[in-house]
Order: sequence, then C-alpha cells, then structure tokens
Amino acid sequence: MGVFFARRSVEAVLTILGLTLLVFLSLHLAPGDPAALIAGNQATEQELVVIRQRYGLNDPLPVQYVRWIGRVLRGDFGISHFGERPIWPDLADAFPISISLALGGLTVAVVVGIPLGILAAVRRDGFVDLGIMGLAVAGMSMPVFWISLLMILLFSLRLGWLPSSGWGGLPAAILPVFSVSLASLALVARMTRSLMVELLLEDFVRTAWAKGLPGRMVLFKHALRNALPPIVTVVGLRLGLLVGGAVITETVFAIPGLGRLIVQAVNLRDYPVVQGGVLLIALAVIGINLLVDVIYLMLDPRIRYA
Amino acid sequence: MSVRRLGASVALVLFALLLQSLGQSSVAGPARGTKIVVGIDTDPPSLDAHSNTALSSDQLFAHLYDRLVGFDTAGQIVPELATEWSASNDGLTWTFKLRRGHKFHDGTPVNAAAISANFQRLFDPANGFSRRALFDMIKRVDAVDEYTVAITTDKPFGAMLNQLANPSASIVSPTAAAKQDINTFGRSPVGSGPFFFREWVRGTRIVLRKNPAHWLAPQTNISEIEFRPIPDDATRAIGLETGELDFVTTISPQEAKRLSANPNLRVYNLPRSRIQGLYPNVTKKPWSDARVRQAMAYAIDKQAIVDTFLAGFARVADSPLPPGVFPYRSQTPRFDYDPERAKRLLAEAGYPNGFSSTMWVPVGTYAAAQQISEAVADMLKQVGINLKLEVMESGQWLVLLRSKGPKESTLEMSYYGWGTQTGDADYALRLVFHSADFAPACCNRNFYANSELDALLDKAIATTNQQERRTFYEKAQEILWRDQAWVWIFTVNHSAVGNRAVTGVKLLPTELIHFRDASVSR
Repeated sequence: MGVFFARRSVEAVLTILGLTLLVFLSLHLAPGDPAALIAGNQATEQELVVIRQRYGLNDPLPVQYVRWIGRVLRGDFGISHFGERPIWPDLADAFPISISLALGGLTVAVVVGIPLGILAAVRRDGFVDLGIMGLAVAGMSMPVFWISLLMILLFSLRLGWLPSSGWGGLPAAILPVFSVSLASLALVARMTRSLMVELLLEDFVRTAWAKGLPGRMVLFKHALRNALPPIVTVVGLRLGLLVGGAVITETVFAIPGLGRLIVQAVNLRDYPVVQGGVLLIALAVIGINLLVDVIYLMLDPRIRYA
Repeated sequence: MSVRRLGASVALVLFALLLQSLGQSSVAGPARGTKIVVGIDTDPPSLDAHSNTALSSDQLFAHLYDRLVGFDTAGQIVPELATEWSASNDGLTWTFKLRRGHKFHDGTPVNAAAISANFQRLFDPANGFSRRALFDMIKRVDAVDEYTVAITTDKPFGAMLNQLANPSASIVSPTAAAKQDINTFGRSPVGSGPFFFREWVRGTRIVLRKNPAHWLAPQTNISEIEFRPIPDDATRAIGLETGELDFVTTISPQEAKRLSANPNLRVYNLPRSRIQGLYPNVTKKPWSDARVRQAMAYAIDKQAIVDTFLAGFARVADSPLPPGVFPYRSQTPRFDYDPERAKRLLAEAGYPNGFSSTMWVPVGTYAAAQQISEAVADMLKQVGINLKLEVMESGQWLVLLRSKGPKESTLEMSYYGWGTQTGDADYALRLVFHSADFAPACCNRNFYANSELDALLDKAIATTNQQERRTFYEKAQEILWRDQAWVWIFTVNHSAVGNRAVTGVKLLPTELIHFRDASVSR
C-alpha cells in the first residue's frame, strides 16, 4: 500500500505540473489581448501600456510561467487583473462552496438513486420499474438550466417555500443541490438497476435465497455489496466533474462557486484566477481519485494494488 | 482500523463538512423594512474608484463616494462636493468652492487638501491606474484655501465638468487610502458618499449603510442597500416577482416587458448614452463611398429592430450623439426604411448589382448582437448587399479592431457600439471620429477622416464657453450624420425594473442608477 501511494503521489505531481502548463499555454495562446479586455473597448493605447507593464504581460511566456509557478509554491496565487486584489481569498471562498454543492448533490444521488435502482431491479419490467427508469431517462436528458428554472418557478414563485437564488443556509441550498444531483441520481439509479438485475440471477444469490435468508439480507448483504464497486467508481468520477463543473447551476442560482468564478475569469482573460482555479480543481480531482481507490480496496477484498 | 470504521469516519467527516458549509447565515426574507435589496448582473471587480473601469463598480461608486460635481437625470451638471465653480477667462484654471464641514466616513474632513491628494493618487504612475488617461488634461490640482480647489490645465478643456462628474473622479478618503495599499482599498473602501461600506461577501452581497451625516440623508429613508450579484436574467426577474429583490439595475428587454404586467413592479425604459450601429472601414471600397453607407441606412428597418430584438427598450438613432449627451440634436434626413431609395443610391455609387462583404459580430459584448446582425444582413440582402457574418469571441474581436492602423486593419465592417459615461460630445465624438485618434492610439477604428470635422472638434474642446461648444458640436453632428460615418441604428435605453415601494430612483443618461436620495415605503 505504501509503495502504491508513493507511486501515485509522484504521478499526481507530474499530472498537476502538466496540467498547469496546459492551462497556461491554452490561455496565453488563445487570441485576445488581456490588457485590452481589462481596459475595455473604449480605452486608449496609453491605458493599455500601463496595464501591460503592471501585470508583466510584456515578458516572454516561459518567464511568466515560471514566475507564476514559483509564486504558487510559496502560496501566492497572484493578483487579479481586474480590480487589483489578491485572488487567494476569492478561491478560498469559492472552493468549499463548490465542494459542498458537489458533495450534497452526490449524497442525494446515492441516497435516493441506489434504493430506486434496487426497487426497479426487484420489480423488474413492472410498472414501478418502467416509471423509475422513465424518470431516470428524463433526468439525464433534461438540460440543467431548464429544470432549475422550472424548480424556481414552482418552489420560489408559486409556492414561496424556498429562495430563488443565493447561498447560505439550508433553504437556499435545496434547489441547487437537487439541480446538481439530478443527472447523477438518474445515472446511479440506472446503473444500480442493471447491476442488480444481473446479480439477482447469479448462483450465490439463488443459494442465499435457498438457505432461507430474509430478503433484506439477500439484497443488501449479498447482491448490493457486489454492485457497489462500479457505482463508487462512477460516483467518484462525477464528484470530480461536479467540483468545477456545476457552472450552470451556479449561474442560475447565483452561487459564488468555483465554476462561476472560473468561467467569468475565462471571459475576461483574468489569467491568475483561471490558473489558480484550475489548479485547485485538479488537486481536488486527483485527491478524489485517490480516495476512490482506497474505498475500492475496502469494498472489494480481491483487489490488490502493488 | 478496520476497513468499515475507516469508511464510516470518512463519511462522517464529509457529512460534517457539508453541514458546516450549509449552516452559514440564512437568507434575508422580504420583511426588511427600510433596507432595500438590489440585483446586479455581476460582482464588481473592485470598489476602489480610481482603479476601475467596469460599469458594475461605477454603480456602487455613486453611493460610496461623492465627486466634485455630478449628473442629474437630464445629464446636467449638479453640485456634489463642490457647491460653486467657475473657469478663468483664459479657460486654463477651474476654481471649485467646497461644501463646508463634510467628512469622509472615517472622519477625515473633505477639504481642498483631500481633493488634491486624490488627484495625486490618481496620477501617481506607481499606482498604475488605467483611467488616469481620462484626466490627462489636468496639469495641477492646488488647495487655494481650506475649501477652495484650483484645477489647472495646459490648454483650455471644455469638457472638464463632465469628466469630473465621471465615477472615476470619485473622491476617496486620503487617510484610508494611505493606510492601505491599493490591493486592499478596493475591498474595504472609504468615501464620503450617502452610504458607507459595511460588508462584501464576494459573489453573494455587498452591503452599504446609510451615512446619517451626509447632506442627502434627510432626503432618503433607506437604512441599508444590499447589492446582490445574480448573473442569470431569468433568476433576477423571478427575484423581483417573489419580493426577494426590490430593484434590478439591468435585465433583458424581453424579461422587462414580461414584468410590466406585474402591478407591484415598475419598469423603467429611459434613455442611456449608448449608441449601436454598423461600423464600416471607410478607407476600403465600397464603404469609402458615403452613398453606399447612406444606402445601407435606408435599407435597414431600424424601427423593426428596436421593436423585435429590444422589445422597445431602445430608440431609433437620429444623430451620432445619443439623447442625454451634451449637446444632442436630432438630424435630418432620418434615413427611414426605403429599400428602393437604397437601390438607387447603390446604383449611383456604381454598384447596381450590389456587392459582398464580411461583418464581424462580437459575442457577449452587446445585447442581442447576433440576432440583430442576422436581421440586418437579411435586410441588406434585399438591396443586393451580401454580408457574411463572422461571429467571434469578444477578446479576439477587440484585438482585431483596435490594434491595427488604417494600413494594416483587416476590418471590413463590424457590429459596434459606443457608450459615453461623461455625457459630453468630446468623449462621444473626438475620440471616435478625429483623425488624430486613429487606432491603435485610440478609438477611431474605422478611420473616418474629415479635416472640417477635425477642426470643429478641436475648437469645441478648446473653449470653456458651453454656448460656443454647442454650436461647434451641432455642426459636427450634421457632418457626421449626412456622411453616415457609421450606419447608426439605435440608442440603447435603460431596462431596469423595481418594486413600486421604492421611489425616487434616478436613472442617469450616463448609464448609472442612483439610490442616493431614493425612499422606500412598504
């Protein structure tokens, strides 16, 4: 296990370095002059000269890259090109929000999705199964912004139960968490169903029934236990996706998360913010993947990493 | 540790994390008395008045800070920190008498020394404020006595008052600014305005509190303003409907129109100083022929564009200046929709069968740019002009547009707009049409050059006599309009919506919305 972690850590560092280089290059090589975007389309050349000097945009790219990496290693993420402020507080505020949104969404997906999947598998081909799977297909196909707006219309405007936007407090979190969870919930339900359907036909399940175990034991102890590893993998991947990818939900519900911060920064060519944000997401995704490997190990004793 | 226990503790930690982040302060309900909540479209980059160029911040500056002079809703100059002013006979020195006894929120007196320190801060190259270019005409700012400030220029500068009324000339507390470096002042600003800074939770809210010592304090009963950045148009609209928001400073015309059916809400459809149109490179054929540009003006059904894509929150352009910019005057002919006439003009110019060209369309810079451009292309097609639309990302578009001089520019035509936050023709015309301001130096990017116009614009800025300036600019508008230096289509209106409980909100033609002396009665 120790060797495994050491190797994975080295890999992780290399991945992160490569990623920072990729982000840096793709930003700087994209057309568009950041100085022009900072100053606005009504600025004079003189204003641009001031800005380029201020943010070191005249230096060669390798110099800019090394300078940035050097600073990040010392914990200095730099200063936003817009508004003269250090960006670390912004990232530090946004990151936990995105993480909680993603975790909340996935918790709902797992807690609701797995039982629905089991139910559908047990009532295979019946009305319950058709109903649940129909909803799952709908959940995966409906655009997030659309379902989010529909939910706002119903729960905020019609019923007046929940706030329509903002972040802070449980009521404000309910709609966005559900919006984030929907696609994952549908996916988890569908996966659970198909895995369970196969497992329920296996010999060891028949043996369990035959030796007179109660249904609960058969379903959860024998069948579900074996369905979990692939589900964990998918959930782990979704988590990585959601940490930086809940942009639409964050925009519709006006949530100050990392996704919204980065998209805004990309549009403005606010290099330090994009670079810092992507770095954080990369760290989170790599960390999550490591965690998923560990959980895998716990769930399936046959798996051994060398 | 057993595998199961490790799993359980991981889950517990994650759950605790989740609870902790969800358990932060709760959202304020509609029962909020004299506090108002204003929805804005984006979080401002900074609240340092001198560092900033974004409209989202300007909106806040109006409340945190005062300027020497300000604008009223007609775009006229009105007193703020200065109660009287005059220009010397040679036009080189402006003298301002300051309001007595007014203080910044930190107790520092607002006196001549504070004003002078503000301009030093603005001009200091070490601070690198990009907006200092707006005040380049100023040579010196002197404190004559405790409450008298003299601003000296090298040459007479006729638009002085309008530039000083710009949000970038807001006066910050010199004590607070000296205490903090420029990276932190923008997060905890100190001004002298009718509201002081209380809290900024990035991406969530900016809260300002009433300054009871301000001269406007008796005129407003608003105790607190919370600005809430909500990027999505539809969400802002619903926020008004549920009562979570009292005002939304900008919203799509379509949403505004929908909301006008709601009896609790008031929709504001008032002129702003922004003009939109087609931007042809006038050094290139066929755009170099004024008749071609006039033909395009006749070929575009401008009213249909205003009605269809802007839901009436705009006004067909009838001058190179938007109404509300000094000294706007409507022009003739109006170039009303007349495709037959357009065809005749094209034939006269030597293009009886029309021609083909390309138009750049930036994404995300102007409202409904793509739909409007498609409609325009379709209308021009009816008279034989085939426009290929090249939709591009705004960063790339800006570089292409602004970085090349007349020789190298690849511009044929672009969808384009210009806003005039100074409310004065100098900013609206000289920077955009004077041949000395060709790109890349400044903002004449379609390379219009006309020596008669140059002379008028030079004369108009070199005098402080506003009556003379008016005469020069009226002539300048005539020349530009007749020539159709751009093919102007419409001027943009404010599309803002507020709860009827909030009254006295001022929507300035210079694009800003003031709650400085507004009131609320629930």
